[in-house]
Amino acid sequence: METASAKVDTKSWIKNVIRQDEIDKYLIDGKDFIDEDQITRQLKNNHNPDPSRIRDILQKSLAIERLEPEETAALLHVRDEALWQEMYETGLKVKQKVYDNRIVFFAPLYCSNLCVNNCAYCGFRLENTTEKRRILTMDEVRQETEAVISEGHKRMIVVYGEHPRSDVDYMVDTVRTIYDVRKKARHGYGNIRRVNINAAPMSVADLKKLWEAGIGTYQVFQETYHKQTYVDLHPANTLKGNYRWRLYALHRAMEAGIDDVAIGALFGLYDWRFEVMGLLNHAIDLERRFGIGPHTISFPRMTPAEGSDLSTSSRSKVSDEDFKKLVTVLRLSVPYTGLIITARENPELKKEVIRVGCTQTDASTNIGIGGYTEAMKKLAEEQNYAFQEQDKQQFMLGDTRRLDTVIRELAEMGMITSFCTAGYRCGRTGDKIMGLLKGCVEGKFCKLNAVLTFREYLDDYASPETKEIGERLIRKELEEIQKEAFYRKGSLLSNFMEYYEQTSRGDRDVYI
Amino acid sequence: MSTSNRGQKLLSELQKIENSARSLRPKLRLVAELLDKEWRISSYFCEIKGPRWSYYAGDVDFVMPLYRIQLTDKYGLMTDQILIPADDWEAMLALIRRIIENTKEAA
Repeated sequence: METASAKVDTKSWIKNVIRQDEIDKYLIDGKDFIDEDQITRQLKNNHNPDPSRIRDILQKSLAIERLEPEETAALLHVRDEALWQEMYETGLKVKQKVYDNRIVFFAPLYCSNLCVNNCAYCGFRLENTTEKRRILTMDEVRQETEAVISEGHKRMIVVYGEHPRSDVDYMVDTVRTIYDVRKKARHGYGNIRRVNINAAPMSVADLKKLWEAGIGTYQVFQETYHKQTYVDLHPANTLKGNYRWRLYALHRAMEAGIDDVAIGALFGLYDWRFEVMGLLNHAIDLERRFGIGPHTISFPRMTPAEGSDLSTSSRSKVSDEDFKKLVTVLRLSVPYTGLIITARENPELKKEVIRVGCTQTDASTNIGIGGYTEAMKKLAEEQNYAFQEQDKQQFMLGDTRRLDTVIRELAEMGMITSFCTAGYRCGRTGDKIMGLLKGCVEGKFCKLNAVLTFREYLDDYASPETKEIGERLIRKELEEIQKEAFYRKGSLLSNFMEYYEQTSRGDRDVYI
Repeated sequence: MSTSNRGQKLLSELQKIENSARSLRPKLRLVAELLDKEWRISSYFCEIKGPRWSYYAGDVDFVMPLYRIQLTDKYGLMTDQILIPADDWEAMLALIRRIIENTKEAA
């Protein structure tokens, strides 16, 4: 329960968050980049696309060119299932061309469910009295991080509710704490090498503080790009009620120097075709203004949340079939941007959409505040790791399997798990990484670093079953690397093989 | 420390860059171009934020650095080789550090 003085502080804090001048500066003739009439027109004009035009658009995606909104609108309206099959196959080809057969893993860490907002679909919302509120201390952040490292993770996305107690200074403390944690592994120590942030929009000055702390990616989801729906779901008297403050959150991040930003929409709030167009327009505006598009796109689908009727009754809920389609269209529309599928979705659907082009996912996920530590305790008591507590988390998960299980499943599908965090530690960031992705070069390096980090995982954390399948996969990867002309140029192959031997001998965090 | 004639030439070119009226980013871009021209060294500079090394200036197409050299608290150099004589190399790094420390960062 908050005291009266704490409430006053919260009110004065809220008053100082939004800076109108940091919205207005990006508007053109007073307008933002989401032109709803234009999006509606584009969707209507491309209602019945000709198959030959669709095949031309697929060729453009295969050339790793970003699509124009008219082209994406056409893809969204394909009715012929045979043509969808071609689109699914092309999505996978695009993914393999840019990112090869790897999939990057991360773990979310929820630090706080205190929140000043009141969003209709969210378990954290202020008026949800059934939610048990909690903010992690730095000791608890450390414990949670140790539990995540023990699963084998190297990359985290840290999530915070919007509240003065979890302000930017708290975020910076948590980021530094996480980077400091070392946890004994079978060989040496494990640690988190990249900390990404999912947090509310903030001012350029606050974003500079996050940037100084050495974050990886800064992620803000618009939730819905449809303005009336946004107004309906986010009360006007709350911080989140300001559509444009949120819409330009990543523009401000770029201005603050953060050159890896991530966009997303919560599917199920409004028409999914419109939201895909919104995401594309967001990517285009970032590219136009800063020369760099989003590092990743997320497309969480609304799942049941404590105390939220909307989360189960929305009229815009997206079916599994349409979900696969929207992921495919995003893959084809922005070929060089990472796509994230999370544990909100069930294992079968995750598998399906990974096949059409997703590049990142999570596993061993626990989104309760303090949930990893609790899960490890339950595990020690030989109970189920995968328990969920609805009154301590933002929404319910569809996939609670442990990392080892998911890695094994992907290895059986011929996909290599990557814990690579090399790019952002050697300058492959922002416009440099965008250029490498568009030129299909980054994927080549990713493959090498995927093998090195997969070697680490197999030796440090894998179960005997996963190790057995993983060893077969790694042998196949090594054979491919040795045959591929790209790697035979200069000293790349010999350097890589030396690094691989070092890693096999127990050296850690060796990367190209 | 004694620098070679070739090293002296490089230092002289670096001093010209140091004394120019440019801001830091274009100066470091010129330094990377000079290293490529004089010694066939591919390089780029990074801005350091915690564990993050973010691309700042230099060869945008160079993808496989082998050496990661921290120059100051805030900037680092990524290169593919260190082939020039050790004394030349050290003198060059010292001068690049001076350029970074004495140049107002681009707004």
